[in-house]
Amino acid sequence: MTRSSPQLFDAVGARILPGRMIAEGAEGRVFTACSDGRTLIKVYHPAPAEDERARERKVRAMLAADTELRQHRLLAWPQAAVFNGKGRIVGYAMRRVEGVTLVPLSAEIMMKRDLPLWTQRHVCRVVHDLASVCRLLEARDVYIGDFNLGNFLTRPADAETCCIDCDSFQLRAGGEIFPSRVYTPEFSSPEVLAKPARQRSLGPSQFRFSAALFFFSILCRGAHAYQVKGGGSPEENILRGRFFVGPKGVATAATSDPIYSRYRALSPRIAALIKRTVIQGHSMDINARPSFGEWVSALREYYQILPSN
Amino acid sequence: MNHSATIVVDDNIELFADNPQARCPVALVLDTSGSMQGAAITELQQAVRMFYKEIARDPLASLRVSPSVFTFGGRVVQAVPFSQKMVAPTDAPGQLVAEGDTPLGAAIRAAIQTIKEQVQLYRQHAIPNYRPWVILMSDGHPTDDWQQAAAELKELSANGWTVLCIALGAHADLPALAACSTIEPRRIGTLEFAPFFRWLSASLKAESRSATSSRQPVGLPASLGSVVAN
Repeated sequence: MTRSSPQLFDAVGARILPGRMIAEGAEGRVFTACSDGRTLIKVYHPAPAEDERARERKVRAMLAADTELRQHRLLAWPQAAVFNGKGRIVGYAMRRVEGVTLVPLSAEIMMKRDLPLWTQRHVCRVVHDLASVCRLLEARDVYIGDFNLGNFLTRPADAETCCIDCDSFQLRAGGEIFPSRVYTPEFSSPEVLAKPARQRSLGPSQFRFSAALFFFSILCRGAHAYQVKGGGSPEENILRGRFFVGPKGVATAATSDPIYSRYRALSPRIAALIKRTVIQGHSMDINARPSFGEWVSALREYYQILPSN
Repeated sequence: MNHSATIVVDDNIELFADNPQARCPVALVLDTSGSMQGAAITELQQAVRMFYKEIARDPLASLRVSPSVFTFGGRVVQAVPFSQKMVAPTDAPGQLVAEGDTPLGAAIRAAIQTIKEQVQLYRQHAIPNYRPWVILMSDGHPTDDWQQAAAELKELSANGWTVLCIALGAHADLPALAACSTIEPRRIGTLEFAPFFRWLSASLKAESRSATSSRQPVGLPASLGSVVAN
């Protein structure tokens, strides 16, 4: 296998010809498929034998998922295993999704530049799609740990948003937990941050906490619920429970801080979900963290009240 | 405990409302003394422009990396202030002019003070920040009182700032540069200005994708210039 043209095969031994490489990350490379313009091939980098075996088991587990996950339009879920010449799984095929990453939603200035026709209604649609997918995943004991704007693609025309990094999700199969490859520190719950990296795992409460912060950040154009006056990184502030509204509801950041201009524009129901996450849900009662059903409902309502232009 | 939240808002100027992302302040402290005349100042100018272009090309880095350019040639000038919104190629400094002596100490003091003010501004406005970076480049001997400023910079380097000292050409004052950082200075030739700034932009792009609390050690690539033994 060379870096530019790996020898790849499908499950019946037919040769797969990878086309152009379109992305490369720490874990692998993504190619177009020469035979099918609607399919992408992810090929993992070589890793220690034990890690490669775990990766093979995880791909098999994902391929064994139910039809709704495998065929959901908002998930680029693995569709078929890709083998090397020795019959080992070295990657998988997935549906090709067209769109742009959510990075332009990191800041108002970038959204205006890269998605000039977008309004808060588009942004609301993005978060609604994410919340819908999270609800689906949570019901199957599947959790996203790597909340990263680059892991989602959105269609500029209508803001339909799809998860493209599904093999990074934590899932459970056959009594084994396949952990998330990465936990984005600034979107991790205090109980996850408090553990050493190798011991981290997610349950519904941790997933809900992370997702809520991620939703908030998108809705508020890059503002973070744990960025506060006086400094500290978001993850340090998550651990200390220092959020932009204090434990007793008192503002801890100046009212001129960027977070407020966005926060005050949210609907009361959305704002209440955020406050429930960072106040009761922070560490006093992790079960108080809002469910994805609540998010979907509040986002639908918010969408309806937002102006269409 | 009463959990009901009251959010009081007002209409003060929202300095970072367009871009609330965490910031990485980067001070390029560049020697523009008379001895830089000719190819050196031309190459430096082009390399700095390329640096701005590279940062601007990366969406996340353009929001999070906040460069500023200080020149010291006869006097110290903050040629480009820290970007407060998003880096654009046009933010690069205009024509750099090589003239005058080498007030290294004054340049270091100006950079330190301005970075500290910038970090204070971030904190006042709830903007998280990465550790500051200082890139100090000089081709000659300081002509002012530099020792105390260098010692302060070295202390900041020991406390987390990334301070990279680059000796430009054969006549740079290596002991003075070595006194400014815990990282050994590196000597580079005129033709290496562009590779250095390419490496710098790549390193800052990587930094901007990491968490602000990340403290990955920074080291210059072995292939670049020569390590200078103290």
